[in-house]
Amino acid sequence: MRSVSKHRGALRRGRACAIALALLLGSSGGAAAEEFRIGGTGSALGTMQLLAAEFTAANPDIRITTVPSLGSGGGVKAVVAGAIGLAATSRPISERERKLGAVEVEYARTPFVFAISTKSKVTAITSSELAAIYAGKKVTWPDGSPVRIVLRPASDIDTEMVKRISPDIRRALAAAEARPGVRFSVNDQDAADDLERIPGAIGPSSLAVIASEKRALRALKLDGREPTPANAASGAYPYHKRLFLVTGARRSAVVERFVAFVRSPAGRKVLDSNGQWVP
Amino acid sequence: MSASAESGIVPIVRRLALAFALTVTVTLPAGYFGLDYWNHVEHVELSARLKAEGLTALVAANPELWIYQLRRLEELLLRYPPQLTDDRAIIRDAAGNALITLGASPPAPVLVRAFPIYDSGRLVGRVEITHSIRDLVLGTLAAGLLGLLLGALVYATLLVLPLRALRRVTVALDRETAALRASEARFRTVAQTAADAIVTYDAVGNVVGWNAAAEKIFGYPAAEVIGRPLTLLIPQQYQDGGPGSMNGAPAGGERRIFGKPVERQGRTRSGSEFPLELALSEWESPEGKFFTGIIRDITERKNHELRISRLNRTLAVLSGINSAIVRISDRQELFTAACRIAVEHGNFDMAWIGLVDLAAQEVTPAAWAGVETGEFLGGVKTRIRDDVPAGRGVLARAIRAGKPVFENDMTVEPHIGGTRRQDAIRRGYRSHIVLPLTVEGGVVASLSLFAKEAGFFNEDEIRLLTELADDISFALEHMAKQDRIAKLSRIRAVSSGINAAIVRIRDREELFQEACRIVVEHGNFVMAWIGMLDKAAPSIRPVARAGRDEGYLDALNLSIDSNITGNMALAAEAVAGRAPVVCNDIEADGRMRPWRTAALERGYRSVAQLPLVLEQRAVGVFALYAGEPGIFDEEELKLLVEMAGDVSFALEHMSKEERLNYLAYYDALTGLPNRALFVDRTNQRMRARGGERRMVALILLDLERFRNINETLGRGAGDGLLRQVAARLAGAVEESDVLAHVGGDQFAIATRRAERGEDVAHILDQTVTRALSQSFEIGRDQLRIAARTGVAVYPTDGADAEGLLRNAEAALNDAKKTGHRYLFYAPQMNARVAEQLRLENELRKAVAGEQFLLHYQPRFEIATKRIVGLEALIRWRHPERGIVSPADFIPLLEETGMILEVGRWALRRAAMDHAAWCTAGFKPPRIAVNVSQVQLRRKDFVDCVKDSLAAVDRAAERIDIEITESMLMEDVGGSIEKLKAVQSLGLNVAVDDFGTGYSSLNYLARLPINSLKIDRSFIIQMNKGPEQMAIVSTVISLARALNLKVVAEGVETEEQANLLRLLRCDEAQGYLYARPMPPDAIAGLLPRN
Repeated sequence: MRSVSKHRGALRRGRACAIALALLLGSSGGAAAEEFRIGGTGSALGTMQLLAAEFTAANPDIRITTVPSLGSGGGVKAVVAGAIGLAATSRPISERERKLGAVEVEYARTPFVFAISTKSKVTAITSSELAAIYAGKKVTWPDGSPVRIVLRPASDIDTEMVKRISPDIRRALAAAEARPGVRFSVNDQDAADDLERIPGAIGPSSLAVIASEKRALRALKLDGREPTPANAASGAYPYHKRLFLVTGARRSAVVERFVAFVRSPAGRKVLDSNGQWVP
Repeated sequence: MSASAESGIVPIVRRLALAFALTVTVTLPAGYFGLDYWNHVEHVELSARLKAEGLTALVAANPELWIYQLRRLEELLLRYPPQLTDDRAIIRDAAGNALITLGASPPAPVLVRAFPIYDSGRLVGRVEITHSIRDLVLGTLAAGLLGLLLGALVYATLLVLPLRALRRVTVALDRETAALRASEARFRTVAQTAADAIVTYDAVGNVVGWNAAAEKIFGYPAAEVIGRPLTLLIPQQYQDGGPGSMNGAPAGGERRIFGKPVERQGRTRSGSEFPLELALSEWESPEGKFFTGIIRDITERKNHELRISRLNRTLAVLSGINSAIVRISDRQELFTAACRIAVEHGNFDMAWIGLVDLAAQEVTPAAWAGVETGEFLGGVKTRIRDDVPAGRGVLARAIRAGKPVFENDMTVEPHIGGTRRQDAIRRGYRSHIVLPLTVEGGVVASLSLFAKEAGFFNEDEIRLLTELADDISFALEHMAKQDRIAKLSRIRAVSSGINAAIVRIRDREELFQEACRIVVEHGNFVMAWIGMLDKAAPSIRPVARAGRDEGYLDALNLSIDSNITGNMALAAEAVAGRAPVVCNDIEADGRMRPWRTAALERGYRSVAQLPLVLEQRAVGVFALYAGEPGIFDEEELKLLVEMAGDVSFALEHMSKEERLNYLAYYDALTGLPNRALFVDRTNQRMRARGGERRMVALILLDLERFRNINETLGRGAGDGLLRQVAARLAGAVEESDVLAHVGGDQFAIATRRAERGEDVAHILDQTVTRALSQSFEIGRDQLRIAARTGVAVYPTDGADAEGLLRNAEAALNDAKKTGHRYLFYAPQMNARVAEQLRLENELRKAVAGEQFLLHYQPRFEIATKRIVGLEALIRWRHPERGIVSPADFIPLLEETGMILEVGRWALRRAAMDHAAWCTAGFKPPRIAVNVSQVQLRRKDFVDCVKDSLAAVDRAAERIDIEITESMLMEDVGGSIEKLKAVQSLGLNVAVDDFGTGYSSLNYLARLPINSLKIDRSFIIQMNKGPEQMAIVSTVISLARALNLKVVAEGVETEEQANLLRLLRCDEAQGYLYARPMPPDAIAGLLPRN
């Protein structure tokens, strides 16, 4: 009971701070409603929407819009150019981006997973099975249904992460990319859509996407390890994506407030409950 | 072509080659570049356009932030066709900043194409594709190099080849020009030195060219003839340009002579004419038209040709006559052909052949040809004696010398020879040759040839004509030999034919007739006859004749009365003189005067009368009449006398043989064959029919008590008895039997009529018993004679007649000892015959004593199991053996004919039993009675049936008859008639044992029958297999198709009955339903009225 009340207390405190901050900002910004847009990596978009909803509920004068996935690079570019207020990326910014004025802050991590539709009975996979699937040697699931692979573009961070799992997988993936008729999903949402939609499809995703967007996808145990944030945080599950918030050199107060909110216990709570952990 | 012309052509060729080479050099790389460059441009433009269109679609979807959707932009560039491969793609914003760049910068030179990206019509960026065309440039350079090479090649080829050809033409032309000049020089020399005259004249006909040969041939030097008209060289009569003219052109009408040599007449300077051969040609030069004639003096050739032509003519005659010699075998025909050939092929105006009679010193024309030869000869003989004028002529001289004699101009000595020679001269004949024709060194004919041309014969011709005469002589000699051979062959053929007849024929008359026939048919004589001497008359009586007689013989006086020898026929003369009489020319022979006309009318020209001599006495004559005179020469006559001798020999032999034969083979007392002949003929019977071992029975009989008769009544009485017995036996045996008196009181009979022992017993009854049944009259005594008989049978008792006779004797001896009337040699045969005869005897008693009875077997309708008929079956109740099966006695009844009587009884009995059942209140079905083949075979079968049933009222309603299928097939036609008649009486007819007799379906349909009874053998087998079942089924279907009732016989099991029911068989009979049973038992089964 005590812990609950403590927790509630912390929540109440956070909320009060937020409201106070909002009031402050609102008063400094005048009576007109302020808005900004969040874009960038698809892995973060669902979570950003939840955070934005939470945030705007406390700050009704602020309107936040999440734009469809621009990818990490596109997001950085857009935030530097001022086309959006805040970018979420799944990689740290590059030196060149930094020189353009981009500023990053890591706000969460999420297990990098292989996902499959919840309609499937498959719950686990091994890296050798993955290699066989990408090599085209394993073409059916145990129930006899065909295996279909969903790939990401070669330059995407997800493709790079898959390749890192093992040299076999790296080789097999190169072969898979050359096969005709293989599905390439341009961003995380497309990939999640395809995995949900295509029977027997398997492909990379993140627990953040699955949880925040309430996807009908199952994150598979890999080599016998459960892809939970706890396992990932402990290193028992070795694959995870780092998530950053990036702003341009000139950032508005509301963005600052939103960033603060994300890093606040309230924001952290949202992250925790959506397959992410704060490092 | 000259060298200057060549030098003019060379620069043109060179320029043309260069132009072609440059074209090739430039066209190849330019063409390559042009074609490929546009491919590149198209590729780049297409790439930029498609990608830009894809981007425009992305912009439309996200107009604000599309430039940040870097992943999508990249994907668009990568995924939109065509693939970028080595190209670089850049997306620029409206300001030209590169948003995204894919691919490295391609190697220069490059082709850059950009395509705009729009946002609702506003330019927001562009896609820029950079594409390297380095390969294109390198390829173009390579094509340029290749073009350069090809250009060089083209230049070399086009320059070198025409120039080389040009040079060759030039060289050839130079060579030809030189040759032409040399030829011209040669021609001039040839013209001057030619053996033929070469004369050229102009269009007006004046001579303009004249070579040395012309001078030599015509005698004019060139100076004398040049410029003068051509007519100088042509005889006057040919100068008009007529057919003989040498002058072709001026006359204008002889163009046809150009180009081919023609023969003409020419005139020399001295004015003499000579034949020439002219080849004329026409040519033109700037000076005008000219004609050149090449002229050859052909005087010598013409003379030679004339000689050859004459020789050819004679050779044609020689060859024609030789071919006639080969073809023709008749002398007269050959003569005619020879004369015709001489005139037609030899150009002789007259030819004739005369037959030379050296004795009479005359020549008679035998054949001739030529328009007036017949008139010239007048059919008159030419005398060749040297004391008459004709005897000094060419003909007489040639015949006397045996060598050809000729004259080439008959007018030189017009007065020698006879009138015929004068006539020939008058008719214009000038040349004449006579060729003697010889046979065996003697001149037999002459060939005379006449020609109106003088000097016809030269040495060559005489040689050929002599050869010709030799050939004809050879042919004549050959023909004479052939005639002779033919004549002798003819006689030999006759002789050989008659000898064959002598060997073959045993009868005198037949031999005579055959001899006459052979003479006429094989010997080509007109007529032949044989006459025998009738001493009583005394005259010759013709006994055989052949050929063209036509009453000639009948008119002939054949008396040999020596008192009238003056008029004695030649035949009588031959008999009287016992020597051949020949007349070789009936027409001329005085001895034939009385009969000449009659003989000539019938075509007789010569005759030979050959006496037939028997034991040194002339007993007859063989006369041969030939159609040709002179046929009987010495050699022929010798052969004919030999032939007559053969006939005489045969005659003698026959007389002796006839007597000996009779004594050897016949018994003089009875006139019957003796033992030897009996054995011979019996052996013949055994061998008869190509080795078929048919039974021959030899019956040997011995008269009992004969010795007593001889002893008591004397030998004469005994002989008389034997003669009477022989006569009776001869009357009793059949023609095919052999009857013989084999010695003493024994007679033997060999017969092939018996097939079994019982038959022998019957034959004995019919012959021996019957022959001896009546008494014999010997003087005043009436004697009864009995005989014992022994029988042996071929092949069981002996393989030949002697063996059989021996065994028959043994059997006879046994019979005598045991007192049997007859005995067989084989004991078992005796037993069997005895048994059969006993049975036969008992059957006779049974028939008489009515020991037979009828049992009945009912017939049922299968469907209702109702009795629908009864079959009457005969049984014999033997007084000792009880009931005897019909199989044991029916065959014997049939053999003995007793079946007829038993059959009648059976029909009557069945009808009576039926009537009795009716009277007793039963309702019996009809009774079928079996009819035997012996009954059916009889002509009175229908009457017998009618008679048998006459005693019973309405018998026809009670009775049917059954006959077996095999009986029907024996005489289908007869059976049909009889059965129809039986049916018309009201009786039904069933065919029994159907299926065993191979009936033809064709007959079956025609037969007047009511039902078929399927043989029991098929019924028993029917459930044993599908084939047997098929037979029964087929018969049932067949019967139904023919609308006949069908009855199954011998049904013994329920299974059979069921099958038959299924097969829709109407009725059945057999142990399953009821066994045959006596009439009383049957009554219990019958329905009551």
